[in-house]
Amino acid sequence: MNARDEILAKLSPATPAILQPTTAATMPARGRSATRIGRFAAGLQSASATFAVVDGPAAVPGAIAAFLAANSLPLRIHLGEVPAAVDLRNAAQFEHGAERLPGDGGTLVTGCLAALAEEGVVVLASGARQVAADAFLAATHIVIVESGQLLDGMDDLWPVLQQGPLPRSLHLIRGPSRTADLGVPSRLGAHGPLRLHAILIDPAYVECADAGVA
Amino acid sequence: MDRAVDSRDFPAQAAAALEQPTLQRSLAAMRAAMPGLRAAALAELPGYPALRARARDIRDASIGSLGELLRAYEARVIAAGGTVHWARDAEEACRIVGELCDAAGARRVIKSKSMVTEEIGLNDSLQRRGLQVTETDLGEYIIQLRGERPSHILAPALHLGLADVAATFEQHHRRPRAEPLREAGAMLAEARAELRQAFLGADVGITGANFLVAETGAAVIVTNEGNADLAMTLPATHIVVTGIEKVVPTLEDLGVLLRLLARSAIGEQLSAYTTLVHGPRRADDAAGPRAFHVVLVDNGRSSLLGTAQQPLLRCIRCSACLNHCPVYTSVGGHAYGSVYSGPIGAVLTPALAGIAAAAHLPAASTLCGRCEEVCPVAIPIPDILRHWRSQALAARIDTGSERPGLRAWRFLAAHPWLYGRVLALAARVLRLLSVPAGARRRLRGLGPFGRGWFAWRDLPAPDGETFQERWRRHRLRERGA
Repeated sequence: MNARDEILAKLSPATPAILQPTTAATMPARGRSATRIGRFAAGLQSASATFAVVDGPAAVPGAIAAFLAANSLPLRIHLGEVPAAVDLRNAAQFEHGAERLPGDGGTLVTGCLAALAEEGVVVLASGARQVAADAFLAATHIVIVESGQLLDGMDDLWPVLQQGPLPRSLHLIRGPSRTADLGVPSRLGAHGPLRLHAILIDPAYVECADAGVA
Repeated sequence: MDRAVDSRDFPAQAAAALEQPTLQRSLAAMRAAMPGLRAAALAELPGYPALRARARDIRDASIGSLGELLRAYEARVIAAGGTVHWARDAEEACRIVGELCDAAGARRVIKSKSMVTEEIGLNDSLQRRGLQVTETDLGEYIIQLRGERPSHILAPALHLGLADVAATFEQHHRRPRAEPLREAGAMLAEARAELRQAFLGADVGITGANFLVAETGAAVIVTNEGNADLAMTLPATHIVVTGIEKVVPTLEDLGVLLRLLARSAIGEQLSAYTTLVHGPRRADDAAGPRAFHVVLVDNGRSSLLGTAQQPLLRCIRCSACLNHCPVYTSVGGHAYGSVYSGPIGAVLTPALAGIAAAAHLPAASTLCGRCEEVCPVAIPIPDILRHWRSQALAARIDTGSERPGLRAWRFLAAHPWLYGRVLALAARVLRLLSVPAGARRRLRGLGPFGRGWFAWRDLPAPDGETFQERWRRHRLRERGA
């Protein structure tokens, strides 16, 4: 008997798997007191990431430039897959890096598949226009989130994935890279980015915020 | 476990660990920080007890249908263009990985941290084939340079201080340096630069998997550093090496376990990077490995099914039991002589390596039960510790003076009159030997006896009277009244 058959014989009889959640999906209700965006901002902050909201795609280049300037970083960016409505290629303020990031870092700008408010997570998928490795080679990762992509939390992500098709790799990213191997507190930038900045495009939110509602 | 597992030296190793100042400082910091971080993270999670019960049920249901779930997982990996390999034991697993590296024409291999690859001794095996293997988790990298073993499931270099790390880097990183390494930030930058080169030059990336999802064929890999993501995206070949028990049915089930894993482990909602990987690069992908292999390792796991130790297969390797254990947080991981240390190591090591090599581990517990309390999948570790103790006794494996001790106790217990007399005498003698300490008296030593105990702790002194004596006195007084 080969190893596969020998191991499987010890496990359980060969019946077709019926894949159901093992118990009824009754997750505890999450707090609804804060707005989804507020929870996303708080989640990002607790993960040592930073956050900005803009009122439309046209405001994204300015928000990126402002973030880079505030962190004394050069206005040189590498583009992954960004939302079609955001035009960074023709934005005059940036110098564009090569198609692939250099091995020693740089600033990467990408969109995302989804973002999870509760966990402060952005979800990146590998694909034809997104090199997954770049999100870990970059020293700074700026992620553009469209308002429709912001979900309450992890439980809302699974149905999106179950619609398929699944990418080769899906990365749930919660803040910059960190390590506790050199003692407490954790240090940022172990292997992956030292900074993660999320820019949410949400016209309604910005209007509310201007009116002092949000 | 084929890697020389031997816990017969546990008493001597534990005693030595108590004398290591760096280790003791790290353990004290852990005792001070980790329980609070975990408790705070769970306090903000609504309905934790229900979620924990559900996590336990998910793991039990998964273990109850491992065969079906692994077949479903395998079918999905194959459909996505990957290959699944099955390994009965450590030797077979190492051979499969070695042959995959050879077939890929590999010379340089990068790894992210994986307990299964530690368990099977993969690095030694690959190095014997002439491959250059680099661990990339920072802690794991440091101990690899030093030729040491991990001392904690998640923090493998816990036993080292910054000065040790600096000395290690200065010895192994051949780079010009204006001044000696002192700052943790400088050490991190140096390791980042060294390992970046290793990532970019590697032919094969090896990762473990925290979970496998049968529904979608996902291997789920969790890190805080991002090293696993580089290891699985840059090289042309990605090999996942993991245990057969890691599979769960669906993505919803995965969600429940992810909610508990990082909170239990490090007091965070979620680790920095949670990655689901489904095979080699797709036809239209811009990048990614061309070859994707999963090696499913049994190595004794299937033999736990249907036994008292089956609940061990629930373990999601969060290490909460280590962080809360009075024994682990006193002696650290190396004393256990096994890659799995702490309470889970004390029950898992005898299961994987045999009780003869590991009898000291289940004996080294006060059965305080904190491990079970903090376990996110409710593994009854104290029950299994007791099971192993009785196995060790039945197999006549002597861990010291317990057999003569038990024999003496049995004789006394069978002779109640004598039992009462001996106890009364002992209560008086111990009282005489005790010293005042506040309002009560405490025992600080017994001359030539119990030096191992009294070197580190004292004992409350008896009142000089046994319970039976006091009861008799009480009854006499009542009758008198």
